[in-house]
Amino acid sequence: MEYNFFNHFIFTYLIVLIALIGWFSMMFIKGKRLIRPNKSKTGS
Amino acid sequence: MFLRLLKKDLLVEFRSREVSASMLTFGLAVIMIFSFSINISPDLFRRFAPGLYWIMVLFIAVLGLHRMFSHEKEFDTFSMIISAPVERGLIFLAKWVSGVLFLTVAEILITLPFLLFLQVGIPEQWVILIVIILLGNIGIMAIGSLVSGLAMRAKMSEVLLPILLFPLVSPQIIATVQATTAVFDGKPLASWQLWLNLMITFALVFGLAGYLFFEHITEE
Amino acid sequence: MFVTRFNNRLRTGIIIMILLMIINLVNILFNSPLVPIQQWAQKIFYYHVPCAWVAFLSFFIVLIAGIMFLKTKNYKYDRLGLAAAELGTFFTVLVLITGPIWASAIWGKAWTWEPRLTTTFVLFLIYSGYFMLREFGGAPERVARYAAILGIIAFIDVPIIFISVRFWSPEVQSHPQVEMALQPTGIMTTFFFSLFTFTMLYFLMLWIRTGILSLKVKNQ
Repeated sequence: MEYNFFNHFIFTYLIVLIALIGWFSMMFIKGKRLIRPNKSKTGS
Repeated sequence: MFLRLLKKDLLVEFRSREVSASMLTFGLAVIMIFSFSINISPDLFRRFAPGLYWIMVLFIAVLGLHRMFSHEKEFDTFSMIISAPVERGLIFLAKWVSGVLFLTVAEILITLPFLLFLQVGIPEQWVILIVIILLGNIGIMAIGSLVSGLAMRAKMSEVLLPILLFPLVSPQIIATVQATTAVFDGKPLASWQLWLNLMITFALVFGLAGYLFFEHITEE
Repeated sequence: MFVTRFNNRLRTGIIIMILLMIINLVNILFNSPLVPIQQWAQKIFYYHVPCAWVAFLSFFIVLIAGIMFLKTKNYKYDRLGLAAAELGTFFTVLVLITGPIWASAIWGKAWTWEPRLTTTFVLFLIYSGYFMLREFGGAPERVARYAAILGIIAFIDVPIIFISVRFWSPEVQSHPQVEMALQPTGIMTTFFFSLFTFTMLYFLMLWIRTGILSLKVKNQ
């Protein structure tokens, strides 16, 4: 009997996707925090 | 110069007996815990014995390394040696050799109780077993001295040392356990030659790595 | 000025990357044949193998950055090493999650001590130690040196670990990677496209991470 295993694939895909989105949003927040004080320094 | 550094390490140890005494008592305590926690027939135990032996040796080695290097840290001897015109690789070699010596001394006193208390019995090829144990010590202490140098001045050096050391030393442990098992079973050399080669490679590679990198470890 | 130029290139990079990922997904979903027996489980490999490849590439970059840092003492390489180590660990975790998902479908058990999986796991442990060393190492310039050395040692250890685990458990099912090379071309084109996408993704991530790290230095 052959199983389909489609769930396994979707599960894998979601994990990779969530991890990547998590990483990019983390970097985005980090970058934002770093850029802001820089801007205020040059502005004042 | 190398001999002088080695002599210094041995002399410090000979006067205080800090490293070998702590290794020895700790090893005996581990043997006791093993015999309490593993309650199986001697025949079955014989098959686990090589693994348990090397677990014990690894714990002892970590303890000894930590003692050796925290001694250096407490008295800040590294910066003093560094101010002398010594090739830094030699400091590593001295640490390596003295580490192997301390570990071997502790093992001489521990191996017999291990074999007798746990009713393993002394294997027939005991000469080869000694060679394997020595080779195992050399490999473990090569990477151990290198990693201790890295972890020595960190905040949680006592935790960091095993965390860094255990995964790095894993191939050596596999090799020594396999070789020891083969000797316990009385197998011919050809069947475990591979593990012998692996141990020698491991010792050479990390001995060389330690010799080369210690310059960057001790540098201020 | 720096920030806006960085931003523009970042935006184009991310948009291209999202497009590539979507094409890759479509490719995997509709453009590659279903292998008999494994069915959809085989398609996990289009994510699993590129992640593994990228992780090892990343650890190789840690090695190169470590050597360059020790040679030049330029902190550019230290940041590169840290970024590559982080990303390598990130992808290693993905490998360690996606691997068991596939294995539980095909082998019926999530984990075996198979050489590739074990080596990846040991690398994960070593790099956990690497971050602890970075965290608790003390003075930043010393930590940079120690981390570089640890990165180099870790990479030297990889082949030794792989060989030892391979001969330690020869009876364990081997990795299916070799068989995949014999598969029809439909699989190979999709596979190589996925590999390409992930490599590009990796370099984008590496660029972002090093950019942020150097921005941090500039702000101080």
